[in-house]
This record gives sequence, structure tokens and C-alpha cells, in this order.
Amino acid sequence: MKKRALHIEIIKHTFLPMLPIFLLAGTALANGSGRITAISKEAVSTGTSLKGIKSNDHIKVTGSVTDERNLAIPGAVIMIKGTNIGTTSDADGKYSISVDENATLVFTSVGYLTKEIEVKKRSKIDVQLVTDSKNLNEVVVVGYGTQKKRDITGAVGSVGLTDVAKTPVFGTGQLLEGQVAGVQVTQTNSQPGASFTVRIRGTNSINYSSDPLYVVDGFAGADITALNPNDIASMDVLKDASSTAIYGNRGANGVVIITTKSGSAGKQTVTADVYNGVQDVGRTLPMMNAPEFATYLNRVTAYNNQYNTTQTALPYTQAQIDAMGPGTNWQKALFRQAPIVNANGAISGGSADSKYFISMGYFGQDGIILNSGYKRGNLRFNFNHNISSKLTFGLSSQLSYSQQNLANVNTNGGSTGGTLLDALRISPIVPIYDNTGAYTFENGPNGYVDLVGNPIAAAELNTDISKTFRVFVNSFLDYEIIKDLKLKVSVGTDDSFNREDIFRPNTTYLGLTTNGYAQINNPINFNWLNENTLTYTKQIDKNQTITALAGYTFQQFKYTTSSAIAQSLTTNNLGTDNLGVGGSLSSSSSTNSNSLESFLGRINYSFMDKYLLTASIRRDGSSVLGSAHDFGVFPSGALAWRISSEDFMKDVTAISDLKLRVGYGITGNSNIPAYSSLSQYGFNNYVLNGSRVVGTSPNNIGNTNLQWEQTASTNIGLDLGLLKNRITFNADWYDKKTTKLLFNEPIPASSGFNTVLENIGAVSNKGIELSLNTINIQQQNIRWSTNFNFSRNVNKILSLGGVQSQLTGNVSSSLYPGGQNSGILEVGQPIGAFYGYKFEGIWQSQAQITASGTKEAVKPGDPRYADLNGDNNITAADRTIIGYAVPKFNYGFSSNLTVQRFNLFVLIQGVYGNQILNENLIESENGTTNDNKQAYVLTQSWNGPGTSNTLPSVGSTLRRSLGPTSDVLEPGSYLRFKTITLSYDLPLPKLTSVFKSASIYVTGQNLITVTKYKGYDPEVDSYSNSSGNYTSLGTDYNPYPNVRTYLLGVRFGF
Amino acid sequence: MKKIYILLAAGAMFTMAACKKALTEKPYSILTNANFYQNANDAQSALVGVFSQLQPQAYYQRTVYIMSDLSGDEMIPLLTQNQERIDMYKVQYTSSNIEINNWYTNSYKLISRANDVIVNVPGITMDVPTKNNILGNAMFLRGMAYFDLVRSFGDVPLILKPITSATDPNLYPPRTASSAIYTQIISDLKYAEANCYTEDKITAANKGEVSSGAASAMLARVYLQRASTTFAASDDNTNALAECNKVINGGLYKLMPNYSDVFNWTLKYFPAQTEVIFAVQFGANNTSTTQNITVRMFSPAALGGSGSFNANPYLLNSVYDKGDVRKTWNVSNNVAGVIVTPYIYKYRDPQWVKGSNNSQMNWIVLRYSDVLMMQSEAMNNINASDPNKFNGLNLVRTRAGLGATQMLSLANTPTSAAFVDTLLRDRLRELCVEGHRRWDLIRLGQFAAVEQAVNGFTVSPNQYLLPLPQTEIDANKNLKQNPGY
Repeated sequence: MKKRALHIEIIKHTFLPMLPIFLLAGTALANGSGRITAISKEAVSTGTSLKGIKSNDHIKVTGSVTDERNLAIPGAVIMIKGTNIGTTSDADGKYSISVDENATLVFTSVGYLTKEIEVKKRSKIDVQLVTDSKNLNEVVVVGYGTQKKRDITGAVGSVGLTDVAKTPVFGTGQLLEGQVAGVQVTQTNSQPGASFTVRIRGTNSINYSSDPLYVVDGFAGADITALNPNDIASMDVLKDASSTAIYGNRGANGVVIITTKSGSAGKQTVTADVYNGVQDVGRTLPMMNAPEFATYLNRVTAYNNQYNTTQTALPYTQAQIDAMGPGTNWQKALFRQAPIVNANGAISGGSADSKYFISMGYFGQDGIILNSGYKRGNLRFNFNHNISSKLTFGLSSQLSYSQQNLANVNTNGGSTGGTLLDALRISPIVPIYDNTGAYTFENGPNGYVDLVGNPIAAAELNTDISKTFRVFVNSFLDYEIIKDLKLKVSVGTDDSFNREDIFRPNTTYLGLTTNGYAQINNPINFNWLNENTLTYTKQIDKNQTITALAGYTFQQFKYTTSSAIAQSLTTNNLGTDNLGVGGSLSSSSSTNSNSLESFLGRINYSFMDKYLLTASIRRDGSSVLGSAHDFGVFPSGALAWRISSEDFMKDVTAISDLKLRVGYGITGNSNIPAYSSLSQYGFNNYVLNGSRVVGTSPNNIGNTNLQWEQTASTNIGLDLGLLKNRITFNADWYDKKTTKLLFNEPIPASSGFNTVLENIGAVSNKGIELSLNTINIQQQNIRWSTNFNFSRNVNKILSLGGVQSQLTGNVSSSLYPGGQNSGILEVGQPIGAFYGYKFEGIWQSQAQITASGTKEAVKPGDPRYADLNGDNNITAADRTIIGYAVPKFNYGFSSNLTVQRFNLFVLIQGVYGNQILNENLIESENGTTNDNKQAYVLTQSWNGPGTSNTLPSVGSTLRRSLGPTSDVLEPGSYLRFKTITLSYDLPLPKLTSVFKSASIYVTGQNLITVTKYKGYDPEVDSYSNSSGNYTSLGTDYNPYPNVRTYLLGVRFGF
Repeated sequence: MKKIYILLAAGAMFTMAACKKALTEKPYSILTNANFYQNANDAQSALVGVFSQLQPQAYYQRTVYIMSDLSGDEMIPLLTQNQERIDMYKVQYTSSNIEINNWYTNSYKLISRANDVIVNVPGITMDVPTKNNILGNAMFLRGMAYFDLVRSFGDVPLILKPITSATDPNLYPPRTASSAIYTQIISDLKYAEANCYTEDKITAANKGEVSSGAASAMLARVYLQRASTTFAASDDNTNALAECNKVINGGLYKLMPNYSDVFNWTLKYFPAQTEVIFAVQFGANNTSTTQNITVRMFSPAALGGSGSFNANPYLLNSVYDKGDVRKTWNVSNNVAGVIVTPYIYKYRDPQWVKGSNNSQMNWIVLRYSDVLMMQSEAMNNINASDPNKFNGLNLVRTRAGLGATQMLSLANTPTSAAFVDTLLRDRLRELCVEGHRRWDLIRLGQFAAVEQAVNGFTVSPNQYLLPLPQTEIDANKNLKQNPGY
């Protein structure tokens, strides 16, 4: 039943949005654009020539297929043009085919350029195919310029965007997932519109962000949140220091360079792409039903009566329990099947002097949690114009508008809860609606359960809507001063204007605490950049080419925000539209600004096309650093040797490309908030004479000596192409050492502060990255290629500035009282080590407790934790490292199979060897006693000697009181079929003259996940992407659950 | 080629000019040490910043009674959650107890802000009495914080200047002997006593600040507490008595006619309120101020509270004598006729919204009836046979509605031990859940006995001091933990 409903949903949601596209197509047809007509004529004439073939005489043609060195090419495909008749060459490169005497033969083989030869009544045709060096001549965008792939000296990965066209993505960050070795992408949570955590070659920084730098169309430091993935032409990831040092103190975490599409001369292209689908929650947790929960509460009450010598009455009688139905399935009520739609149209073209690309896109994703969702509209205009033979103007621009309806997830828990959290915690005995049809207000029975509000009422009535308007404009003038020397001046800006409206009427539990709540936030970001570069390119002689770059850039960021809050609202009818109805009003605002100033230079030198050298330097100044150290110098150098171009490799025919790369460089990270080096005085308030008075107090301990974090890294890489690059293999080894960490060093509280920001400590990241691209089958009607990538990064803390270890990582303070640390930073250990008590089973009996000699106040049924120092007590000294949040390795695998007009694309991605701190288990399994639990808790909890050695008794709260323990850690490894897409190219050009191409596809995302993890989803990271929490890795607490998506889409080219 | 040189030269000049200045930060929404402490307004604002530090839940909004009253015999927390509260109640606290950590950390935050005022305000050119009053306020708060620390933890680091750099020699301080801490506390309070305005001279806008009388009353408390230690000074009791007498004879403060008037939040300020000497201020609902969670914490679910802390039933059943009006005001087990678990009813607030944290109740630190009882205690310590030592206690009893037959005298309370017994009871009846109990029991040598008798908990001698927070031990190698932890 469910499946059928789903199919109907897909159809309903797919065909309706496609209507405009058909209308658009119809209009185009009616207008009869000249270009379209021309195309259609071509198509028709091809059709007529096909008919003519049969009327002529057939002859037998034989010959051999060889390469430039006259070596036979076996397996080359020889087709008669315009037909599907063909043959292949044998082991000696020989072929034989019967053809019409006027036919044309098409010779193809992997790694070679296709060649067409007219038969012209000849019976013997020998063909020499030329190596297709396109692969290696592909251009890669590097910092402040482009380079041919074959000339690259550093570690650079490109995202295979042709495959990405087959994997509809929800955000640009997701494009990186599973595609490039050494890049790890984690969804913080699956809230529609939420961001991704991207890490390139591990975590360098402890206290500050390790996010890479994004460069969009030359604009460094761009925000990619609202970038339309469909507009992207290429996406290159600069991984090693020799590539990123040109970005100086922002290069340490890697650089992602994105180039958007542009038009090409003389060719107008119109494309339209629509997909539509539904999303489902990946999995739900099996919670107790009403009778189970009633039985559970009775058992907890009996337990508390026994151990606290109280006489609290049991909440339910057996008769009441027997009369209960299954009760409310809160998860089912909160989750829904949610539609997702994406529509894109683009027009591009141009003349020799002017090129343009215009696109419009709409993306709408409803959330699987009630009342959540995301919508985004984009308009892009890219333009290039040659003003004169020496002067070129270029523009890249995007306007976007997005609206995010936020579900209340990823909260800190407690009485104010969160919609999903409360749906798990609230009693299944409580109905959603009372007998008047109004929402039930809160949980019950009072005194036995945690008082939380009705999550359905909260989801439906409380709103949090964030609307953002963004402007991105980057324009440049390129002037050829003299031959070979070009000046490029660019000015750009990337701004966002946001307004967030939060409203909670006093009819919800959360809203009543403030008798209604309305808030408006207005953050505005300005970011402008001026870059001036001189590029000198010279072919010195036959063997030597040199490219030199010098530049000066200045960039400024400014952030302003204001917020107004109204409480005790007189009416619920006005939402946030008139805060004046609040009996209590408060407002705040803040502004900060920081700037960067840089000088940069680079030389690329190539000798005999075999020896390649790159050297770069950047001098970077940043206002956020201490006045004593605001400028830093970041040099790098790299060498590459194209071994395959050496004479001695000529005879090794199997190897088509072999290059060795070695690079070293120093990069920086100064990703700290503005004013960090200053001794700040902040504001607070107090009450004198019954009124608010404002106070001023020191905020921090200033540090004028603050410097950038410095990462020195070595990279050794190997690129290998075999069998005319039918197999390509890339391997990189790197060794990064980050020193002078910007570290919020915890200091004794006797100072009045908790931390001081200093440059101390060192972290090492070493790793290998492998990627293997193979074309497994290349035949007439079948083509199968695969890509496999693997990366392993070993992170190690080398120093913490004198101390051996430091506790770190936040956990929910409402789960672990007062908030405790989930992890430890310890010299010799990686960032992301979980720290806590080691679970050793359950205390089975009082006799066992007594015999053990423990001084701990434990009862039978309590969990038993390891007494590591043997003092017969469980104290802070018994904590140890209990797991690791960072995987041992990551991998991605994609397979692309084309059979005739069908294409099947599969993307598999996974991580191995990490653990996840599943904090949800404190509430849903054991720790608190007043919340609804997973169903197995009733049957599998300890309930007398010998009944369980894994799950404590239902009344035991010890697990929670200690802080993180190993029994809430779970293995986080997973293998996921991220995307499966089946597409079919419609033979439309024959049927109608309107479309140049058309394909239809179905996609399933997250269909299968192989994992032992018991939470909603192993791809989770509740805290680590927010300021102050960068070391809270691998924790899971009431996230937005991951979704399974089914899509149906069509793509047209006109 | 010429073009290139021109271009490069122009570029170089442009960049040189741009340098430094462009990278100088302009702090838009904060002040810095470079542009603060300029005038009298700054001094007053800095003092408000010190007061502000009293308000967090983890300090004088909640932690204060978790330390003093929950770890006495007055309250019982919810036994199914918040282990740190259960541990305080059951006297089984450890160094990782987050509430102990809150108490320690926030005390030093208060000290740090007070130090900032004490070091920076003297340099400001301004009206001298106003300046000295501000310094006196800061010194009182610093003294109060050190007093909390020393009676909770014993020897603690003594920091008297703000820490302003990571290389400050006082960043990793060792512990200073309790006796030296007391000396500093008394010196701070003496300054406050001499320089703070008297209650009637505090300007209308500043009502709620520290008065000279508050410093005297706090001095009395400090002297009495020190008198019970091994390093007591010989004149501690006479000094305590002298300070009490200053307050009593000053004539500004007196008992309110009704016990309940003390907790009537519409009578927060002198002269309408004559009994409260110093209180941590909280704002009323519908003002953009910090409000107090306590009413929610103490009210049972039936009244719209969380019932996080209940009254110890013996407070209801066996503490009060017949006719004592304080019983019905302070504790109840009845909500509109329905019997519930006994709860603290003392801090009701009619404008509090059920389920919310926003009560306007103040946390009373010092009040006149406490001074009267301290006077009695000091007199008993000086001369147990002095018949006048009952005067203070009897005044408080009279106000509580007790009759002539219920007055104390040498006839019904002949020995010093009997006096201490009734003193403890009288203080419990009058001052329950006002932040005194643990310290009273320790000062009067009854902590272990009362915990055993009332709750059945065994207290070992080392538990008279709390453990230093584990995070502090971890962060500062120069600290040694108290014995037994």
C-alpha cells in the first residue's frame, strides 16, 4: 500500500511541474527560432542519407589500425557512419567490414581521437589513430590562473561533474561527497538548507574552523551556501601546500575552486532540467507503545520506592494498562513524506567577441518534519566581452533568494526540548489532541514524566523562518599591456541580507514560558575584494616556457546584525509583524569588521615539457591578528618530472603517462573572530531600584602577540596512465604539520576567565590518497567506467603548549548535568578522541558489589565502570580514551554503465573505523527515567541477577550522572549507496525537431546504508560545525534525520 | 617596457599607502582597555558589571542554595535526576560535581570583575566620595566572594589584581592559607564599611547597592565564622558583637512588623523595606532584566513549578512551635486543599508566570533579624551567663508571633550547649533556605550530628570542606586537592 502511494506521489509531483517546461518548448517551436530550425534541418538530412545507403553497391574493406608509432591497436571499433553496423579490430589491429562504396567509416578507440574516413570505393584502408591527449590538456583552475592538467605540480583533485549531473544534489557542498580522495563531507544534520562540514586532509585547527577556502569565479572567500549546483562548470580541489600557499593565511585547510558556466561562440544552447520526487525518513526508532510505557513507568516507580524508601503510588493499574490501545506514535505524526522539486533553465551563446550564460533555477525541498523546508531561487548572468583586441571585460553574477523553515532540532534538550526530541520523549499514552480537538498541551502524568510540550503543536504552531537575499558580483578587466604581459583588475562583492522571524504563540508549551515570543534577527554580511594581478607568459625557446604572476589584493568583511525580541504578547494573531504587542521588549545589535591585505607572486617554469617547476610566495596581512604580527609570509615550491616523456620510456607502450610530483609549502590559518587580540570590555546588566542598568566588564584576556596558525606540508604524488589512459591512477602522500595553533587554552578559573587565546601546540596530519579511474568496457553499445577513491588521514596532536592533555568537546548540559566534556586533546592522540568511563557490564547483585570492595554508592542493576586506578572508587581519575570520532579511512566508488540509450550510475560512499557518541541513548535507553524509551528497554534491561550484562535496570541513572561512558559509544562505520540513477536518452531528435537532446531519469538517494549504528543515521555531526565546538566531533543529539529520496526527472536540450 | 615600470611603481606606492592603516581594527560594538575607565560614568558602569556577575543561575540565583541549604537539612532534590544535586543533598559530593565547580568559578569571576574596578577606578578623576563608594561596593563584593570560597574550600588562591595577560604570574596561583584570606576579607569589608554610603544616603537610582551597614553586618558574620576556626583571633567575638551593635544602634534597620513583609517584592527598598540589608537584585517580569528561577524550582507542579527542590518533611513536621507564623509562610504541603510533597513556599511571587523562570524575587544575603541573632551568638560566645544574650533571639521570636511563654531565658536555656541548640533551631525557623544552613551547622559544630539525625547521612570530617573542582586541579598544577577527595 505504502509503495503504491509513493508511486502516485512521484507521478503527481513530477508531471505537474513539468507542464511549464512543455509550454516553454511549445513556445520555442511556435516562434521557430532560426537556430533551432537549422538544427532540425540537419537532423532531417541525416535521416534521408540513411535511406540512400541501401541503394548502392557493397564492397569489402580491410585494413589495420595502428597508433603514431605504427603499433597495432586491438579492439578498435569501426562503425559505418549513420548506422549501428560495425566491427572491431583483432589482436593485430586488423579488421574487415562490408560497406557501401560511398560510406564513411568511423574509427574509435579509447585514448585516441576518433577518425572518420570516406571509403570512396577503396577496399584497403589503413588507419593511424592519434593519441587523445585531451585528458591531459584539460585545464584546471588554480589560484589566480589556470594550468593544463599535464603541467600540474601539486595535489589537485577535480570533481567529476559529468557524473554529478546524474546525482541531483541539494547543495554545492554535497558535490564533493565521495568524489575526491582526501575530501570528507559530513552532513551536520539533514535539515533542508543545512550546511555541510567539509574537511580536506583532516582537521588542522583545534579551536577554530578547518573549513576550506572557497573561490568562486576568482572571488576568494565566497559563500557557496546559495550557489546553484546546476551552474557549476568545474570544481577543483587544491589539497597540498604547493597549490594553496598562493592563498597564504587562508590556504591551510585546502581550497575549493569553483568556476561557473559560460557561453561559447556561435553556438546557442538552451537547456531545461526538471526533477521531482519525494523524501522519506531514512529510519524511525522503535519506541515503546502505550502499554509498554505504562508498564515501564510502573517499574521505575517501584524501583524508586524501593531504593529511596518512598511510597509513591504506581501511575497505572494493570486494568488501565490492559485497556490501553497502542497509543500515539509521535514519530509517525511528526514525520511526513515530503516533496522535492528542482527546475532549471539556461541559455548560453555568443559571438566571437561576446559570450553569455544566463540561468534561472528553482529548488524546493519540503522537510520530512512538519513545517520545515527550504526554497531557493537563483538567477545567474555571466558575460564576457572583448572591448578591443587587448582589453577584455568579464562579469560573473548571481542573485539568489532562499527561505528556510527551520525545525527545532539540534537543541541542547531540557525542558524547552526540540520537536523531534520531544516526539521521542513524550509519553505514547498522551494523545495528540484532547477531546475538544485542541492540541494536548503537555506530557503527563505529572510527577512521573519529564514535562515537555506537545511536539506536534510545537512543530505546527512555532515557526522559525529565515529568508536570505544574496548578491554575488565579480567583474574584471583584462588588459594586454605588451605582448605576453597581462594586467587583470577585478572588483567583486559577495553580500547577504538575512531576516529571521521566530514566533511562538503562548498556546504552545515553549511559547507559554514567555507568554508568547516573537523575535526578528537581521544579520547582514558585506564582503568586497579587489585583486590586481600581472601575468607574464613567455615561450623562451623551444624547450622553455615561463609564466610569472605578481599581484596585490585587498579584501574587507563587515558584519552587522540587529535583533529585537518581544515577549508577553497581547495577541497571537500578528506573529512577528508587530513586535509592539509585546509587554516585554528587548533589542540588541552588533557590528564587526576585518580586512586582509596581500602581495603575491608565482613562477611556473617548464623545461622540455618534462621538468616542471612552480614556486609561489604570498605576504598576507590580517587585521584580526595581534598588532605585533599582522603580516606573515607563505612560500611554496614544487617540482614535477614527466617520466613518460623521457626517451627511455618510449618503448614502454603500456604506460601512456607517468609523472612524479614533489611539493613543499607553508600556509596559514587566521580563522578567528575580529578583535580576538584586543582586551575587550563587553556589556551586561543588573537591576538597581527595580530598573535595568547596564554594566561594563572585561570579556577576555587580550593578546597582542596573536599570530596565524602555520601549516608546513610536504606532498609527494604520482600520476600514472596505462593503456592510452584507459586506466589512470593517482597517488598522493602528504605530511602536514600545523604549529602555533590558535588555541583557546583553558586556564584556571581563579583568573576570572576560562580560556585565553594563544598560539600554542602543534598537530600533524599524514595521509595517503589513491584514486583509480578505469574504463572497463568500451564497445559499440556498452561503455562502463568506474572510479574508486580512497583516503586515509592520520591525525596526531604533537603538543599542547606544555600540558599533556586538555578536556574538550561539548555535550548537552541537560543530558549530562552541568555540561561536561565528551573528549580529550592529548599529546600523541588524534583530535576527536572520546574521553570517559569504560563500561564493564552490570552489577548483578549486592553480594557482588560488597565483594568487589567498591566505595561507590551503587545498586544491583547499575552499570559497572572500570576502576582504572584501583582505588575502589569511580572518580575522574578513572576516565580514559574510549573511542575515536575520526574514521580510519574514507572511500568512494562510482560506476557509470551505458548500454545503448540507458545509463546506470551508482555512487557508493563510506567511512570506516570511527565511533559516534550517541547521546540520544541517555534519554531513549538508560540514564533518565522519565522519558519514553526504545521498545527493547522494557524487555532487555537488567531485571534481577543474570538478566542482562549490557543494559542497566530501568531505574538506574548512574550512566547519565558520570558523563560520557563507553556504553553510549557506537560504531560509526557505514557503506552507503548514496545515489543510484537510471537514465534513458529519448530518441527525440528523430521524432520531433524541437529538442536536440532529451533524457529522462529516476534517482534514488540513500537507498541502502550498511551500518551497525543504531541512531537515525551514522552520517551525523551535531555540534562540530559551530564556533567554539570544532573539537566536538562525532556526537549525535536530536539531529534532523537523514532522508531517503526518490526522484524522477527530465532534461532537455533545445 | 616603460609601461611596466610605471605600473609597478604605481602599484608599489598604492600598496605601501594601504598597509598598516587598513589592518587596524575598529571595534564597533565593544569597548577596549584603551577607551574604558575614562570618567565617573565608566566607573559606575564597571561596578554594575560586578553586580551583574551575581545573577547567573549557577551563582546567586540557584547554586547558592544548592551549596548552603541543599547540603544542609532543609531540602530534598528530585531523586531521579540531576545527580550533582542528589550528591550535594546526600553529602557524597566529588571533585567533578558541576555545582561545586559553578560555585568556585563564579566566585572568582566576581572577584575578577571587582579587582578590575579596584585597580582601575582610582585613576579616574571624579568626585571622591562617589569614587570611594564605588570602590567600597567592589571591595564588599570581593570580600563576600572570598568569604564564600574560604568557608567552602578552605585555603584558596588569593588574587587581588585583574589578570590581563597570559604571562601574568598570578595565572597559576597556589593556595593561600585560610587565615590570610580572612585577613583580606576583613580588610575589604572594613574599607566598604568606611566608604559605602549609609542606607539612607544611597541615591534613589542606586537602591540595591551595598551600604555601610551591609559591610558591618557582613563583618559580624565573618568574625563569628572565623571565631569557630583553629586560627580564630582572640577578639573575633567582641568584634562581631561590635559590628552587630553598629547595625542595631545605627537605627536605620529594624524588623518589619510582619515576617511576610520581608518577602513582599513590592517592598524591596529602604525606607519601605527596613529589614533587608543587602540582597541580590532580580527584575520584574516584562522588563528586559534578569529574573529569578527560584520560584519555579521550589513550586510543586500543581502550582506550575518544576518541584526540583522539595522541603525536607521535618521542616514541616517538627521544626516550628505552635503559633509560629513563619511555618505557614515558609513551608506547605497543600495546594488548594490537595496534599502534595512538602515544598518551600517562602518565595512566592504573584506576578510569576507559571512554568517560567521569571520571578522578581531577590536573593536576600543579609537582613536585620540575622544581625539580632548574630548579636545573641556573639554574646553567648563572650559570656555564656550574660542574660542579655537572649534579647536578639526573643525579638525575632516575638515578631514570629510567639507568646511570652515561648521566650528564651537562662531559666529555660541554662547552658551554652542548650543555647547553641536553640540558636540553630531559631536560625533554621527564621532563615531557612536563605543560604545559611550548612555554614551555621559547621560553625556551631553540628553538621555531622544533624545530617545523621535528620537525614541519616554520615558525614566524615574531611567533608566539612568541599573538594576543589577537578577542572581547576587539571588546569593548575600548583593546586593540591583537599584531603579525602
